[in-house]
Amino acid sequence: MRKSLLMTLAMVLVASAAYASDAPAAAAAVAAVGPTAAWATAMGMAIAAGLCGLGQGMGLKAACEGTARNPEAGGKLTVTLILGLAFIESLAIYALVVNLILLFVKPLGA
Amino acid sequence: MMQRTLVQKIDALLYRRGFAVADARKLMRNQILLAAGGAALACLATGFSNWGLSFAAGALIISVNFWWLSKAAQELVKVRDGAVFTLLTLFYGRLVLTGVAIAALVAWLGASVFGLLAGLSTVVINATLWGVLQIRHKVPATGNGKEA
Repeated sequence: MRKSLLMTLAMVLVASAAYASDAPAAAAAVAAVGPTAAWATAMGMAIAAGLCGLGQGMGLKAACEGTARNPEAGGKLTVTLILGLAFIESLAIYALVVNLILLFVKPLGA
Repeated sequence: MMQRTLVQKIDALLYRRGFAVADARKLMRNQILLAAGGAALACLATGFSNWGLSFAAGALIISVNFWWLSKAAQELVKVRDGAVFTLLTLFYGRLVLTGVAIAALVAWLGASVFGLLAGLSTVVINATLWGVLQIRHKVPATGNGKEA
């Protein structure tokens, strides 16, 4: 599975380099950045949101367990949890902004 | 004096809105003050330019986000079953709403991306400052060696 993924990635990279070698093909490659950026955006956001959601869930699980074991430490745990969740959520939002830049501002071309 | 009154008013408002944990209330109050102060400073310093307004928009979005997150976290810690599912649902709901707001700002309103990112970073600055101050308060004062 991992091998085939790496092979596909290598083929895509080699193919784009080959297309970019002559002038008309280079123009075509630049035109193809749009759909590629859209795919990259979708994949990037999916990965970022999925992993950040997973991280938040794990943090909350640990905080719930801690509170259940030691209810007196609930207040301190809540603040630590909020800080952790805020950091993770800000990562997701940064990923979102970068993806929106790729999608709408198009720094890599049309 | 005026600053203390403002802080007390914000604290009272937060308490009425369900921020029962004292430290969570302080954290939210710091975020409100940092976002409002930073937005005002950015707007005034740049003469209400696109960058300043984008900073204010970013700070507002992230503060609303943080408000919901803090309120949810205070409730969720007490929940024994189904907390993770509820948190994930809230997370994705919030992310979708934030995404729509940021997409509208970037794509249609032409907001400055760097201003927006700076505004969104206010929550990270707030959390980092909080952590640093907590560590400083917890570090015991070192003696001069004569105690022994």
